[in-house]
Amino acid sequence: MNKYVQTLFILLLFISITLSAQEKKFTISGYVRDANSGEDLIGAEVVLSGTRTGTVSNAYGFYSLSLPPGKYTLVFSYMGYLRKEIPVELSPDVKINVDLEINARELSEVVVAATSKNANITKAEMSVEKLSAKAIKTVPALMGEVDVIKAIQLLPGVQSTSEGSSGFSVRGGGHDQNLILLDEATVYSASHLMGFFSVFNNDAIKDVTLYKGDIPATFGGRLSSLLDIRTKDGNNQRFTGTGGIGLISSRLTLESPLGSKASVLLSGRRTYADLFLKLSGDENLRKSSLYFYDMNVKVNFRVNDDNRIFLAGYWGRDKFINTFAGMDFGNKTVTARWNHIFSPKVFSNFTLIGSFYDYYLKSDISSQLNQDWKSRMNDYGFKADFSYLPNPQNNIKFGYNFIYHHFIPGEGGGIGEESLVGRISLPKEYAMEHALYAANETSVGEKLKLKYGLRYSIFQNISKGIEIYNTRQQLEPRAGINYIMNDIHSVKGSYSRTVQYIQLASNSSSGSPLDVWFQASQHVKPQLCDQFAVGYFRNFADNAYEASVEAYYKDMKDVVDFKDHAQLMGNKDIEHELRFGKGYSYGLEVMLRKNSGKLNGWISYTLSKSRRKIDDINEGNWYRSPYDKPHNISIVGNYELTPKWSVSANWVYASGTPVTYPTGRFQIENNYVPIYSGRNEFRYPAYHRLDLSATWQLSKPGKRFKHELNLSLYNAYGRKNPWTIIFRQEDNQPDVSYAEMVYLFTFIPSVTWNFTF
Amino acid sequence: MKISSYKKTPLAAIVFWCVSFVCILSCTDRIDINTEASAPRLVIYGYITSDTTQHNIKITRSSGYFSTEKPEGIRNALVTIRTEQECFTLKESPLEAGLYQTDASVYGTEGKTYHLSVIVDFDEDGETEEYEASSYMPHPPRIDSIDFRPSILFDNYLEVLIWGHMPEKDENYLSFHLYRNQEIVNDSLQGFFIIDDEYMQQTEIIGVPCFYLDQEEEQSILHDGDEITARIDGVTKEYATFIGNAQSELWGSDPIFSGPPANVETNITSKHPSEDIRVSGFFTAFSGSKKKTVYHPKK
Repeated sequence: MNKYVQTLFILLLFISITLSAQEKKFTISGYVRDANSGEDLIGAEVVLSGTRTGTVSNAYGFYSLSLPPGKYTLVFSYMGYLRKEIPVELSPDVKINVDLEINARELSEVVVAATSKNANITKAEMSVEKLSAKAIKTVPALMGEVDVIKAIQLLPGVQSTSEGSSGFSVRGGGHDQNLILLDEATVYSASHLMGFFSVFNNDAIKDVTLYKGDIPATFGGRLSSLLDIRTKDGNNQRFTGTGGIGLISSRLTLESPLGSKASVLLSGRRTYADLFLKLSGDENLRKSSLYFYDMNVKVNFRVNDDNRIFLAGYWGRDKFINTFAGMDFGNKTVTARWNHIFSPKVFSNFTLIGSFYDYYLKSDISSQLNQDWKSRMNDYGFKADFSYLPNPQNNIKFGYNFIYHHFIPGEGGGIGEESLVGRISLPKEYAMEHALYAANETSVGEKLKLKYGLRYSIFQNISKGIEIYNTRQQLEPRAGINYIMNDIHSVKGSYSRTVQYIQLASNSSSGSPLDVWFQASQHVKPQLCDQFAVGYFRNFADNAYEASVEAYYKDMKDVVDFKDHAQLMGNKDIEHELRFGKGYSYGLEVMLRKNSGKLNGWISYTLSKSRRKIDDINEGNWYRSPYDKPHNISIVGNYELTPKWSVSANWVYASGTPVTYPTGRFQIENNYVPIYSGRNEFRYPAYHRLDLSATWQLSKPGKRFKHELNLSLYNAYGRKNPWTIIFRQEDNQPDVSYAEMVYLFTFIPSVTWNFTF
Repeated sequence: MKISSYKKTPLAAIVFWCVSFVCILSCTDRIDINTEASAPRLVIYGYITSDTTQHNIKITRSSGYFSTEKPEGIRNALVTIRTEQECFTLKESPLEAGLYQTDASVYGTEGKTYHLSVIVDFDEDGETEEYEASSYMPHPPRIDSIDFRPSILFDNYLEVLIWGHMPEKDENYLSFHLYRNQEIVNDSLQGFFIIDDEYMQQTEIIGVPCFYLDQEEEQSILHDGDEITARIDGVTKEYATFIGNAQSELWGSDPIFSGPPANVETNITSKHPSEDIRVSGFFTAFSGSKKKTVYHPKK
């Protein structure tokens, strides 16, 4: 362990040497906010007029710029907002909070990725995708349910795991290799209703960022990606509301100031499919329940200019209950954050996090066979994150993360004294995950930006008595370089190592709500991934169009899979079901995006390959990973026809999902049992789909109460995309076998009425 | 005959129900799939039971998945089943190629281990290959009585309830079969119903519903006076696993709850393993108990 600490110390020393011997500087700092709602603007650009010297606001809207004494003009800019120029005479430190006005000309327009105008060129980070809530809202949605994750699946390098699923694969990685954070709390299961809808209510969301590889050293714990979702803070200027009534659910979000220093957001959503079941003639259906709900609450309190407190919570639950069985499951997350500005150059954030997921099953068949089963995962975390901005050339981040994992993989069994079935409890798992990190983003002259950091992660299995019986640790270097050729061209490269200490106990390709996670241990090594990426970024027409080409290579070690016919649910010895191996994936991602204007959207194409080699699977030979889809195209467009009408469309195409088909059969007990090809040797037919939507503004301009009608058509040309293919014997000719494709959604129209006030 | 039985546990039934929910949203279409037939495999399947009867071992050649022919039986094999004390040689049936049978006087004994040996020239190269498998014969459970009642779960279904005792020895894997007027009801792999007692806490079976018969389906309607026989066999864990895995492959997989499809493992091994000849199937031994009753509808 000492050598790791030493390495981290050397990095910090290097950073401090870089910063030494600097002349006396003063600091301009403050927050950048939306003038209308008071929301912090994340990633707003703050530059010295006529130069490239500057910074961007952080996740809390805070910026800091240290400069030699003198007179400057600061330019504050953010997509969709009016630029603001502020002259500053810098002799002592200055605090300037800036409220940016929405550009009235662009008020009704959609900004696809809200940030500064050429941030994609100037920032050192790469493999990052941002989407604004407004852009997500324009993407035609299944049953009219606007969905962050479905929008994410349209980005280059991201694939849906199956039709309609909220699971996604990033650059060939597994669906459990994505760290999904909601206000910094881990969301273990991001789906409602068997995955057809995600747990995120778009009305409550402020910012969505997907890191596909170049994950900042601040974060870790998953191999493939980080999906960082931040909810709105709540309007601190006036009481506002947003809502909608759709075919399957309704939603309402309220925001309000609480006095002069605080604001609150309350958001809720519930489906009402079960209300229709009450109308059924079938008594069993009338007694059934089938619904989900979720709620977001956030309070933020600005104690003073240097201290701010946020409290955020999410509760969501799905319930499926009929006369003989029931299941309910859901997430809860709680986040308490304290922003403290130690000095104009040092911003800090301390976070307490609780993240909980559980499911409960119950059968009601007979007194001897009735059973229940429950599983729960509890995470309790603490984070201390610091940003030190000594000068415009350096942005140093360092901190410590801690998570205490308490997993109850399963307990339950027979109910009542008459039960034939005993009760069992799978061994509970406890672990601590620590990480220390330090990183710096530095500018070397006008054209070169470097990003380097190191994360030192430790995972400790602990027994009930808090005795550490196994420790695993890993250094996770992260590095990036950006050569800015000019304001519209840049070339970037990055390297990152990521480690995953907890894995999903699921061998299905998209996961289910009944999946549980298990921990690295003496016998289970953490998964490890080294990712290399290079990219060329180019903007056109005064940054109206952004184009990029990125190539990546991922080398994965200690990849986990499960033996054939693994029994994962209720298994006391899950480690016996595991198989280990390696994998790689590589690909090329091309993106052309028009960020704003009457016509906006993007076209993306991904060419990729992903392979695995796992002991005992496919006879130890290389095979296609379940997420290997060589060609993937997404075209997303939104066009404002008139001030009252706008239309949107998206078309997706993906190579067929790899699949194992039967190539032979043998007969036992009057049935034919399949003999299979090699693992994933075949592919389903290619997947493609067109979705359309139109939005009709019903309100007159200038009215506070605005409402609109959204009409959407999912899978407009009725493509029958296989969800699965099953193989059967003819009833009347048992020696004849046939294949049957199961498909889910064709021509799903929906209508949603949305309003804001 | 339309028959329903739980899958391995009621909890699995809940998962099954969740899949059914997705199926409500789904439609199906038959499609053509072109898969080249894999190299034929040698398939050996059969068992010896505690019944005094002819015991069968079937030796066939696997075919392409979309073949429409019945499996080809393999002739001229030398098939024996032995214990430490006795050895039975199976004779090829003159009526069905590939079917090898013991004498009708043969029966197995609980607690013994049976060894199967098959010597056959599968690849027809003039040289015989030898295959073998072993199975312990577990002790049987006991059925005391059976009864019927309308299902409380499914409209128009009749539940068949069983009373009895678990065997006191062994870890118990129980296979259930039902006969109507001496004709087996669950005669296909899909209808097999096997449970394990890994989590069972009682040795007494008190009115456990084991079968659900659809009383709107002509073939499974019970008539007054029908002779109903229930049979429970004690089977090995390996056989229960084989049947469970084979059933899951028959049902097919879905992206949410299923793992990837995989070949069902066999317990048949070659004495001289060759990459050219692969083997599928299973050999096992089990013992059972039966109980008869006459069905009279309750008023």
